[in-house]
Amino acid sequence: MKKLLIFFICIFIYCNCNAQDEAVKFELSAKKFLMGTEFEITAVHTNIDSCKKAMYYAFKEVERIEKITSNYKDTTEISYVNRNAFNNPVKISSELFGIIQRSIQYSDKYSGLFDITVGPLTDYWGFNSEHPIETEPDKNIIDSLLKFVGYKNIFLNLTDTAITFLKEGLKIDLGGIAKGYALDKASEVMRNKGVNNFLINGGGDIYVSGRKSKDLKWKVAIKHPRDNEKLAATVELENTGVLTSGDYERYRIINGIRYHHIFNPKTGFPAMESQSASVINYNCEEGVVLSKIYFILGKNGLKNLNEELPYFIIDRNGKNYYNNAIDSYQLIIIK
Amino acid sequence: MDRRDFLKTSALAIAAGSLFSSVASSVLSKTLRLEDEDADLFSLEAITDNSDYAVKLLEKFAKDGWLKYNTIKYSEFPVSGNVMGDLVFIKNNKLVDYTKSQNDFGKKLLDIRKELNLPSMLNNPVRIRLYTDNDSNLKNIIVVHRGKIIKRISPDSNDIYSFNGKSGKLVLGVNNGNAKITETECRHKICKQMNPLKKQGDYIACIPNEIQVFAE
Repeated sequence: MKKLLIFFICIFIYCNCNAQDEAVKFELSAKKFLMGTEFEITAVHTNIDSCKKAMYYAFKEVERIEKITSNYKDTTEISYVNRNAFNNPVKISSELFGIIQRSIQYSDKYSGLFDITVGPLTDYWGFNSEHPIETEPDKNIIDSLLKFVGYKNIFLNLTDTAITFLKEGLKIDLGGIAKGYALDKASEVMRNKGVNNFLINGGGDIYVSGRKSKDLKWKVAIKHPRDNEKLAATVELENTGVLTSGDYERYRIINGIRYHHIFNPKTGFPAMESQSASVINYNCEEGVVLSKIYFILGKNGLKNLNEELPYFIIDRNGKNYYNNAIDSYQLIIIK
Repeated sequence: MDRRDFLKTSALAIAAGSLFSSVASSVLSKTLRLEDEDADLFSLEAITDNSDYAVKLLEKFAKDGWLKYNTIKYSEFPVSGNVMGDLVFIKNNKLVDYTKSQNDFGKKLLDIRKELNLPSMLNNPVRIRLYTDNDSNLKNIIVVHRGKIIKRISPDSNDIYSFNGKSGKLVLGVNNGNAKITETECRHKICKQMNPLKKQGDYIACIPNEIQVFAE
């Protein structure tokens, strides 16, 4: 009798699991312009209202992070820091402190190829403003601005989470890290609200959680850097991100040269080794930083790095490069 | 903006086969029988002023297995002005007249219609929609500014259309059944780089200008 009861319980559990697997799910998608780009969330969930709420709060989370990290607005916490931190310790939120601290760690780890003090260069090139550069860049001006770039001129006081600029004219630009952080935090919100199957696209940087359906992983496309209507490749992902840096979103072609928004902090000029660099990493913050570093170094420069993430790089001549590590993500290159 | 307003204005997955295009087209005269079991594309749409309740009813309808799909797309969108609200079922791009049906499916839809007090004339209602993917060629282009439909364009018009948004002028070019942003005064011009509208469900958003263009 006991065995029979266990048998029936097992049958019940099996049926219940099957019923759950085959429960009707709804796919919702919404977009919002945040952090200077388009954020899109697509989610698959069994309850429409809960899913809408989760998406709403995920967008609110990105909005909240924008209010801390954006240089677009004067009212953000980082704008206040930029105005007041020279020779003056400014107490900041532990969240901003953490972002800056990790940024400095990335700078140390990757020999200054990532540097959040590129603010004066960002302003000169103008790709984040209404007026990007229209004439041939002036090397003398760029060289003079490079004097104000250097993450070692940031002093962080861990005891009271305060920041001080040790050099006048220093300006932090978190554009190279904040979007990845926002993706991580928005994903956390979605999961905390009970939605586990979703994709968040923050201007081409993508994180996916779970699956699109029981049998399908999320399929993510990497844009072709020279043809808006084409894709360069696709990968299939589950619980990880694909983060891309490309020279095709914010750029100006001046006298036949494509000047874009990803510049080498050491030269002050846009990096020219690659057209696009994508990396796969579950931590989007680290992933966006690394996609820039991979972009700047290009395929040949990667050997100088001690670690290698799954990557897909299109070099300056349009040639594709990728490593074995990306094989497990069903990379398909589109001819 | 509160949660409800946000959800209504953030373009929650507007996609194929809207009520507008369906009613406007000639399919009214050629309705599909509910018994057509081979059909696999559908759109169930409620134009209603009671959107929360409509969502609950349609969700239950889907979960009870009436739509025969495990994953169903959902969208909601505000409609501007005085509009006739109703519950509409479209199968393979053809309007289904469930009001004359005697089967359980039709009766269920009639129950939902009655629960929502439809049909009736509504002011600024919401369009709630459950649907499946549709790769059909576009039949209608709608332009939405600040969450409201401001223009409907035929894909055969082969013309250019100019709109004024928050960041300045935006020009939409329609050619050979495709539509594309050809000029814009917004900052990053991401909308200009977006793929042209070719099939139902495609859409282009110029978020700085608060303008969206949808293919239906």
